Amino acid sequence: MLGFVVRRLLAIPPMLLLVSLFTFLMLKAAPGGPFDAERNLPPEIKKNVEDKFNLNAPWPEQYLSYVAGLVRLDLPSTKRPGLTVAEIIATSFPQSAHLGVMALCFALFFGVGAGLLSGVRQNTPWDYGAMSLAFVGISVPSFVIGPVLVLVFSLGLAWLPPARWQGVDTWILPTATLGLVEAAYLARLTRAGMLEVVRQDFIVTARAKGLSEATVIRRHALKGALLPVVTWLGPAVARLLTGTVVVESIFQVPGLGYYFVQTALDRDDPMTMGVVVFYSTVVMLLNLAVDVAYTWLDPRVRYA
Amino acid sequence: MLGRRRPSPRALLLPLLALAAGCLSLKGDYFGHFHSKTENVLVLNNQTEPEYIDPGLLTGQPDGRVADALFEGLTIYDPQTLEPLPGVAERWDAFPDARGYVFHLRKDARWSDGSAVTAADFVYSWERVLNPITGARYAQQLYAVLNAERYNTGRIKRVVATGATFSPAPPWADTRAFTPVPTGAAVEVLESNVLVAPEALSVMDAPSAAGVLLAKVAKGGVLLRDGDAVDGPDPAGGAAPVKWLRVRKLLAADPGDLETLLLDTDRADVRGFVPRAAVEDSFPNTNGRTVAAPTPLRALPDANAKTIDDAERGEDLFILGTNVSGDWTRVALPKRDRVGWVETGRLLNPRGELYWLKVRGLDEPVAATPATAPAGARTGAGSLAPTPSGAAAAAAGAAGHAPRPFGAGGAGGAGGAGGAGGAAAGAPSRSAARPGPGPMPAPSALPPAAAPAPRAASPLPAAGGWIRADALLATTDLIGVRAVDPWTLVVRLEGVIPYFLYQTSHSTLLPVPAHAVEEFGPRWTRPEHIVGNGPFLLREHRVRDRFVLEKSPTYWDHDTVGLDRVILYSIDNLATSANMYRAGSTDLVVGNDFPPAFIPTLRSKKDLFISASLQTYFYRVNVTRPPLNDPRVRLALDLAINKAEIVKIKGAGEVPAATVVPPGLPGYVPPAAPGYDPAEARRVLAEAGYPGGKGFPSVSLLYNSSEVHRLIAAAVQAQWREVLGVHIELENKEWKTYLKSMNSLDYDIVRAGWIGDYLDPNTFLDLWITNGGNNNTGWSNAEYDGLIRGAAVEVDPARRMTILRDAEALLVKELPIIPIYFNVWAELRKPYVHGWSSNIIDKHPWKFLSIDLAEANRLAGLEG
Repeated sequence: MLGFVVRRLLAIPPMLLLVSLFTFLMLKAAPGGPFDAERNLPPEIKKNVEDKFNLNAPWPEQYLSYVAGLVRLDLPSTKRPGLTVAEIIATSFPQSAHLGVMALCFALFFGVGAGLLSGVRQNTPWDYGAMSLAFVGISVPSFVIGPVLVLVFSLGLAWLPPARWQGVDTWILPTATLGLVEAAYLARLTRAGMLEVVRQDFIVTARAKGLSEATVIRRHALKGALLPVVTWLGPAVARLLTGTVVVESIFQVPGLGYYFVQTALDRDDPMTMGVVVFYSTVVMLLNLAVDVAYTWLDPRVRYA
Repeated sequence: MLGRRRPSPRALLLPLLALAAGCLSLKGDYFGHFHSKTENVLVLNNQTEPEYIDPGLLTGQPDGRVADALFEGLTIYDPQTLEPLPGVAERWDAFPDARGYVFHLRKDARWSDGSAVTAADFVYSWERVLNPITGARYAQQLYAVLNAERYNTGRIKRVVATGATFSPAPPWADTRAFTPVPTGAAVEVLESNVLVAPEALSVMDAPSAAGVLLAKVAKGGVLLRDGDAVDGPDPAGGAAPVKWLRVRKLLAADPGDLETLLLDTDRADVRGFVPRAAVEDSFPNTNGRTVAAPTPLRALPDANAKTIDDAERGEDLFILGTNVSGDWTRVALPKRDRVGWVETGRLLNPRGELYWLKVRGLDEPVAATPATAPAGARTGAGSLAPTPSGAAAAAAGAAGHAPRPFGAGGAGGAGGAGGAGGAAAGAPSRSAARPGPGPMPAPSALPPAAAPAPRAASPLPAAGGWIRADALLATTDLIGVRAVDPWTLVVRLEGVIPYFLYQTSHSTLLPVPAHAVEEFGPRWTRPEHIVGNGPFLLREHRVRDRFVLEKSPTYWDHDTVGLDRVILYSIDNLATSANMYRAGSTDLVVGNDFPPAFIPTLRSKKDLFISASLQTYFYRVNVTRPPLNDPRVRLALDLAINKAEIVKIKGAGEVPAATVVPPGLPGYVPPAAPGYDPAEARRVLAEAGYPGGKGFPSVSLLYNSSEVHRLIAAAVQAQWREVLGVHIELENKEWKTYLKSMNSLDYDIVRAGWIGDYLDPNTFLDLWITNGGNNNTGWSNAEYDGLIRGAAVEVDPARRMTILRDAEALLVKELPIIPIYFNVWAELRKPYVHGWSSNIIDKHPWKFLSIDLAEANRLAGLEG
């Protein structure tokens, strides 16, 4: 087990290198540069600026300098050179993570709850009700849910502020917006998992032993039903922690999500590489955590 | 200012939010809700996180908004008229020839760390913007300043010396008697026995230790004769020549009060003086390089040193040795199309006639300047020497031989003429005016050294690599900005630039604190390091969240400042910005920072303000591609667009445009241009060979992916089909791809917009000069170029505007662009915000803003 974890950890740096190389090549293949604008810079000024950011150097040199800068945590953003990529990530990640964790709790509580309810009481009004809601949650994107929530709770009822990340009252709407979509997906996932597990032989055995239905579900079915949820958790946690551009934009949460989209549009290559590498790291670590969690949840899984 | 790009999810949000806004009950007179206020704090949204709040580096409006609060320039905008109001400059005087200004700085202006804001701060800040290494994207904002563009674009290169060793200060330093000049004087060269180029300005540098000011030829000049033995005692006891300048003193108090002073220039510390007036004009491609005939070098310190000929190609230029000393040294050397140069340090040997540098590492062996040039120069020098009234002839000679390096050559001559006239008047009294010295030597006294030496053809001997110090110029000295004393800033301009006083209010020209910038580098704008001189201090900055500004106690006019604090949110989502305002969380929404789709719904609201802006929406036409290369086709396309219908698409009150310069610029009346005329459009198209659109080739209309642009393009497409019978394909591209297509002329017709940079029609019209960096249409018209150039040298403001109008008339006749509409600013503003006036550039000086708390609370009470 320990060997497995160490091996996986050792594989992360080379994979990050590959990811960063691929990102770099894609960025360089895209047309335009950070200093293209509607107003053309005089060629001399443009050259001055590009020289300042080493953009006229050969690609390998640029790539190596980005990688070195990322490793040393002193790579400046092209768009805001007063800040390093590491600083921007360090200041924006906490907000995203905060929002992500709250949304995750929201999603786990409501999503898993509704999913279990539906799974256990299949084809009852409970099931239909929960699944209808989940269906809506999956179908309606967050850029609709968010503004509607703002409309109702901020502008209409004036209970909650419409935007910004400034205290408990401002946390509620973004959390709900982000959490609802995830909860809906999670509900369906949990329900499907539960339905599959309760048909397994070992559940039949458990019931045959005469255990009460509650005990069967709690002791035997639940773990198995949650396997798909755990699989989902790895990438979902990474996604939620590192921010989502739509919800952050609607509620002006100063998180990391914005940079996933905007830095690419701005052709702020160092920043794009930074967020991609950061995100990849988080994904890889969380996937490892999920794999480890499997061994606990599913006795059939073993790593050597 | 550059408009800000927004992230794309907004495109999806807008219609929904518009719908949402429509559903909301919009009762009442105001769109925004009111909350009672207890503090004198203005809260607003600053659109997006600024890239820079460093004045020299910023380009965006959000950046400028913060910088304008933290720094104060020479002038500030009048909130209504935008006319310059005194800022750090208490008052200013224009040069008599309108080609420059003397700014008198207030003595009570302070940086927030308590130190005084001085003229040197502006020199530092502007040089920093122009220094190529800074990479300032808005450096053009300073191009009005003399030689600024040449410096910024590297046509004057900086070469840092390495490996040179310098002797200590020369023994002669400060041992001579100076002709004292009062502190605070700015001087202009009237005449001299050093030939001064027409535009050369000699100003006073900081006082020397002895308390006298030192003269300086700021820009090129030519020795009348090398080694002239001029009258006057040699302070060091020898009989070495003394160079002098006769100058006109520009008195700070009254520029008309002229006084003739004589300065013994050879006595000046070279730190403040270019020795013997530089021979080298320091610009490339200058055939009229006027060079004093070099005398043979007397001594080379190191016979084994590498010479230029030995140097390998591609090597950088290194200075190996010199008898010119300084903190750092730069050398003037013509390369193919570049010039390196030397900033002189102190002369080790001020009377040594020859100052030399030994260099190596040129790209190629030094090519002699074109054969005709030195010949002409020699002739010039030769003809000058016999001329009794030196400066006038000298000016003429220099103007004749070197028209190009000084920008508007003709203007240079004209500008020089003023000085020359003064010189002529002063000439007879020359010897009288200068106590002591006798008359200038007769022409026949030309020493033999003045005869061209074998290598005189080139100012830089190709072999040996020794450069005469005559060829030395300090580049930064070439930039037309000079701190005469801590409170006097002299700015020379490239030409007649009447809008320069608007420019001095621009964010790019704000001063920055040298001490903080140098100490903290790119991090100096962080709250913990930043030092400002504006009405507010930066208290807090959270990236992509907010800036908190606090009234500055050190600001000279802090009594006028009406707000205790300003909070600027960095909300880049338009809908969120509107929500914040609606909910009462912000006090105002700056120009166009809410979804334009809201505007029709909010028309009746008292807190919506719509005003003209300095922005035009237009289509560029690629005139290199048939059939659009035919002006008649372009005219037909223009006449066939019903622009009054187009502006209904956005519906914010945009003004249909027949011309390209937006209305509202002081002193400018746009030319007449035809409007919507379907019949005429059809006639013109038939004349061009496409009656009823028959045979019209496939043409596409490109726009950047955006809902508004798509709707407008579709409407135009429909109108063209309806009126002209031509079918135009619509094509959209992502922003940067679209820009690339536009810049590489890879389009037929492309949607475009332009926001004026300064308050003058030229900010729009000079786009379409031949090969202009933002022309992007392939259009070239010699007459148009001539008009734009003519306007740049026209002294009379009214006539200048007429010239610009003629240029625009030509533009809308030829139509390389099809104007669509003039944009507007739409703002939301609570009625208790005072001092905020709508204006075409959406600039609102912070010091005049205030909040009427009583009114705010009254409105909040009414709302219950």
